[in-house]
Amino acid sequence: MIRMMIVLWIVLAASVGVGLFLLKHEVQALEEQLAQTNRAIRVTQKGIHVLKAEWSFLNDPARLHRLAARHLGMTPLRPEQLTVAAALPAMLDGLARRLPSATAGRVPLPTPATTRNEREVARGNAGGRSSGTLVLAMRRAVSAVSAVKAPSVEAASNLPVRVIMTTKR
Amino acid sequence: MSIVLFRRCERFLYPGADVLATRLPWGRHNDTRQRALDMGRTRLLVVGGVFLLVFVVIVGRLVEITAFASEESGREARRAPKTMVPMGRADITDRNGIVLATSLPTVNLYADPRVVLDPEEAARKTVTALPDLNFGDVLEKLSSDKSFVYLKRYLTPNQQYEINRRGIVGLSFEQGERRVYPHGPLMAHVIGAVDTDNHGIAGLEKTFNDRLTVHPDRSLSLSLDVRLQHIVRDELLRSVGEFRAMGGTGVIADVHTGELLAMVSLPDFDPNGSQNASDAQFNRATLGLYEMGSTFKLFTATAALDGGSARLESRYDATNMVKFSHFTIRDYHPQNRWLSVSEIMIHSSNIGAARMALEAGTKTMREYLDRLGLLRPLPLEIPETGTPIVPNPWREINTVTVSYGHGLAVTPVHMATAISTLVNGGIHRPATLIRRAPEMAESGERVLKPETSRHLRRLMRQVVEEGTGTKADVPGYFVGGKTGTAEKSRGGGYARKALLSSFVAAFPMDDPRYAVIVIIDEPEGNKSTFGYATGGWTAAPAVGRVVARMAPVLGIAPVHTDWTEQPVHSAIVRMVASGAKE
Repeated sequence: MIRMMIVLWIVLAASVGVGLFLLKHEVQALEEQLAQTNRAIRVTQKGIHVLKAEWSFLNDPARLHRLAARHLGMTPLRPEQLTVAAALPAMLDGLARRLPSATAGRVPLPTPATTRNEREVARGNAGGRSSGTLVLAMRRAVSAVSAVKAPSVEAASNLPVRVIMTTKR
Repeated sequence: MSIVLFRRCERFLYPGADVLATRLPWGRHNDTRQRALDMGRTRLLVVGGVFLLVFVVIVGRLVEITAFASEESGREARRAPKTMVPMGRADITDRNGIVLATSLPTVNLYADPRVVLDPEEAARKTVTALPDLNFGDVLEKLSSDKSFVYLKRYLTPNQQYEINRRGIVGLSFEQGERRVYPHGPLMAHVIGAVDTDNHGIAGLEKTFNDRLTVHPDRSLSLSLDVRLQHIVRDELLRSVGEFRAMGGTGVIADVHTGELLAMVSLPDFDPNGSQNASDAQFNRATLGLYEMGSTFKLFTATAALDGGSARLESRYDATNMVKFSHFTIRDYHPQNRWLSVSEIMIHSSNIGAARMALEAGTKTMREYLDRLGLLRPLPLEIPETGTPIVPNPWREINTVTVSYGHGLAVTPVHMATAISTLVNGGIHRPATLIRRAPEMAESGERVLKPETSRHLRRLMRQVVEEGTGTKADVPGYFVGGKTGTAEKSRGGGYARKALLSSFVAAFPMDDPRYAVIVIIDEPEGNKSTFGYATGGWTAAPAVGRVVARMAPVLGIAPVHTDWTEQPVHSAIVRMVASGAKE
């Protein structure tokens, strides 16, 4: 009986000891991992810091100006390219009257800044259909802008809208 | 439980039981033995009690650590850094958060010459690793008896590797920081510079040196807007080149908050490069004191109108030139008739302005110039600020010359502040380079009647509609302003050929929001200007171009109606201002 008890205690003590040992190792490993992760975070943060500086450097307006002019043929936005939403319907009517088939049915939305398309409209190169497409698309955009961005009709009509039309250099 | 266990087993004896168990006859010794046993038991009990206490404490502590100490273990886990590793110096950003100045980690190479075994060998190796170093210099440094000497700052990782690869004894690296200005010369004058130890030595870096180092994790947000700054610089560079001028200045101010949105001084310099004192480092916008010329006529009109000595319809005799002591005042665009206040502005009549100022009186003129901040030092956050050169003593002749902008020298930022006050309804707010949230804007100080401000807006608009400033007009934006062409003073007299041509403007004039100042230093007339180098021919077109480019950027739509005093721009402007930060 007494031997049993001793064995039991020894086993208990040993298992607790081993358990503790394993636990300690696990904790150590976790701590190592934590430290490593922290180090990694710091390295990444440093990287982000440096990249932010680079981002700012690459976004230097003078540089963007130069690149946009050289590769995209863009020029600074002119006041004539800016109007308010309220003035758009009249403008679009005028534009539609000047263009032939302005009533095309299915029309793809042009992406806002595809300068090529718009440039062609300006040059008068664009075919009738695509111009009509543009007018319809702009109409849609106007209603969408009014619906989404403005709290009221009056406010919508005062929203500044950038009508990016063509810059021929 | 263990006690129960122990009692059951016979071989295991209760302490002292063995002694008691021996059957001895009761005798004299029995008592002493009993006492000794009792004492032994008591001591045992005390020791046992102490141990028990210790174990209870340990158990308690264990329970506390495992069950209740979540706080502490949590702290351990939270050691993970959440915020950016701050460098030693905070970033400086523009009003939209674009980084203008930042500190980047770098490595410096230093040596401990006392440890270097063979200076010549070490120097040779160092120079092969870093070919841009001079062998003689390095050898001299390594042969000195100091214990610390910098060999090279700001090593690239590649250079660091090259040095490491050669394993030179006595050379070590030091983690350092380097201040970097990603936009180069764009904001050079405003931001200033730091020395090699990252102490601010100029501009905002100097003023906010403590603030930047005490809170390195909080970036400093300026009032400047990178986009507007670029527009002003771009257009100013064009004008300075076109008219082969010495330099130029451009300032954009928000008339309602006093914030400077752009401040350019040309020529400028790249703060990332080596810094040597030169003309390029001179900040014309804040340190340059200039006699502004005719733009001051606006202030003369302000004093006369607000002081009550004149009304818009008042007329002044500008038939002939005026002799005043040894000065002869003549007009650049002589009309040779009586002129109203409007006409004096439109034709920029010196004679008219002088008569207006004399009628208003020296005291009134001084008071209004002072109210507009033109007689006080520039209250701006950078150390490079100028104090106006005020005539002392101020005689009547000074009132006459100051009425058309001579004899009193102020900085371009002084002008921006004063023009803002003129058009914003008459509230003076000191200029600032630090961003202010709209609700944090200074309440300012009312120095003019709103009525006067309205008149001034009308006058400025008329100058652009039909006067000397027509080249600044931008259809749809109602630009208003005033030209100025001053002869620069040279050794007591005035130089006929050295002009300071300027244009001060604000727009949109129905509800002014931005003041734009452009000053061109010593422009030369060319064919396109028919040889003229005056403000109306050189600075006004630059202002027009700046307005035409900045308004679309700020989302202000043009309004194609005739100009009235009714604000038509206001709704739009307010929406843009309250909308997301542009």
